[in-house]
Amino acid sequence: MLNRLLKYDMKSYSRVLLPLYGAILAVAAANGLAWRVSDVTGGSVLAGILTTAYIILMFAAVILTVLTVLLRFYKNLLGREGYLMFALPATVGEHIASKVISAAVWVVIGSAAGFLSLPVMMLLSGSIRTEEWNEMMKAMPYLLERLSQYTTGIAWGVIFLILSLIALIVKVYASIALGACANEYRFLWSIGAFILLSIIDSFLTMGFAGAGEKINIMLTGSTAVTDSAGFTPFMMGACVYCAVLAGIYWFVTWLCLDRKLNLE
Amino acid sequence: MNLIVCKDLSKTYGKTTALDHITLSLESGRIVGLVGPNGSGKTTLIKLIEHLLVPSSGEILVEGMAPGKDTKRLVSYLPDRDFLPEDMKLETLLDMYVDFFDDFNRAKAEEMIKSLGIQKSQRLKKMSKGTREKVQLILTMSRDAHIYLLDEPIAGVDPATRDYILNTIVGNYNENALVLISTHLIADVEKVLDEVVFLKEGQVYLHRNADDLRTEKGMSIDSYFREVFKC
Repeated sequence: MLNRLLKYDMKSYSRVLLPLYGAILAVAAANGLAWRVSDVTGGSVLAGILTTAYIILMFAAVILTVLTVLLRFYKNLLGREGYLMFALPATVGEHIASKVISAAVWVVIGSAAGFLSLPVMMLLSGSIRTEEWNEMMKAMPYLLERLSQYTTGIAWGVIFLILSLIALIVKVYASIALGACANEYRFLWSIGAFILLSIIDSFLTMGFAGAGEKINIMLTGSTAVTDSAGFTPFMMGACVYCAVLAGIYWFVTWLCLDRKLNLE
Repeated sequence: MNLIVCKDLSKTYGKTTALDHITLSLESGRIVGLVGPNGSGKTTLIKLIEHLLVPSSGEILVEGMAPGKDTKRLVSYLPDRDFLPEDMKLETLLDMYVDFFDDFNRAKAEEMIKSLGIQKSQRLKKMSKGTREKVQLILTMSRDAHIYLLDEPIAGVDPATRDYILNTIVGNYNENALVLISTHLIADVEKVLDEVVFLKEGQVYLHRNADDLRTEKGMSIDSYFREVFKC
């Protein structure tokens, strides 16, 4: 059932976010070309307008992505649509998984579109000359060779980033689910729950980081994590911590949706 | 065959008791009216069967199973409110029902939709409230389910729509299924009922065959309801 739930969640996200992310890339490309033309003609009005449009679109994308991630969960599971969603033959765990995976995927797609728009704009505007680009490409093998000694650490770093994103999304959903247990002022209760969870989260993270530092001192005699041998266990520990945190928030969300469901 | 069994079932919300130690068995092949005034526990009982709520104590079994993913395959549920995603097109909604419910008869649903002149390409938010209610009913009754849970299907609709709803229910349900209709508008529904369950202050006041009750009391179920729940 998870793949079927994902299908409709992804569809719903794509309807709202895909045109926006597409517009960012299109405006970035148009902006790059406009700056290139303005270098020749001297007129920079169009390029200026497009730069403003690009900045506005970037802000809009961030705000709209966050809002869509929040509303998709609330409206679809805890609003009136919840009567349909919870009538489907799927477990509460599958519903949560679908919402978390789809939100994480769209945050990643949004970030990728944002980051990609910069080189697109720079390349098309001609601000990076072909010679410079070729130089950068020539330096790549050396850069990759230097990074290769950290491959495992970098892989764990990527896993850590993904787990951190998932933990953050599940924390937000746990806060919304806790807030929805109230009959009134659900939005305020959700914000309160998020602040409370964040405070607990901070204390736990400080405790975990402190413990990690002590273990590192015991093992290496230093507080610094400098070499690849020290970096990998550090990232592995951070990943386990994030996974545990996400698991706890997941359980809180599950408890609210399965045991204390309070639909509008 | 008993499709729904409640054993000493209770549900409380804080200090308020919505259902108070209910024991009830409902069989297949029957249309059962779950009647009672507002706040008598009708919607709570339906939500417990659909696993939208969990019991505070006691047990509820749907075809011998605790409500959950497996029982939702067998139960077709019509809530007492507008529940369809407004941004969705009707044809996407039909796809969704096909994807999730093996017993959904798309051809039957499309035929009913066509007979009402509704466009499949239309988004739900573009439809009138009455049309959306009809679409909800069509989707619910186009499943070949074992149990139909219909929560206040005729509340707040005009008399013509009321007739359409009742005709759709009677004309489309699986005859081996159990149809549980929650309502306080008994006069309109009583002609289709085989059995009636009166809920009063969270307890089962009576559970009887509809004809037997009419004969025994010498009045319609609606009149008897008014007598029992007189303010």
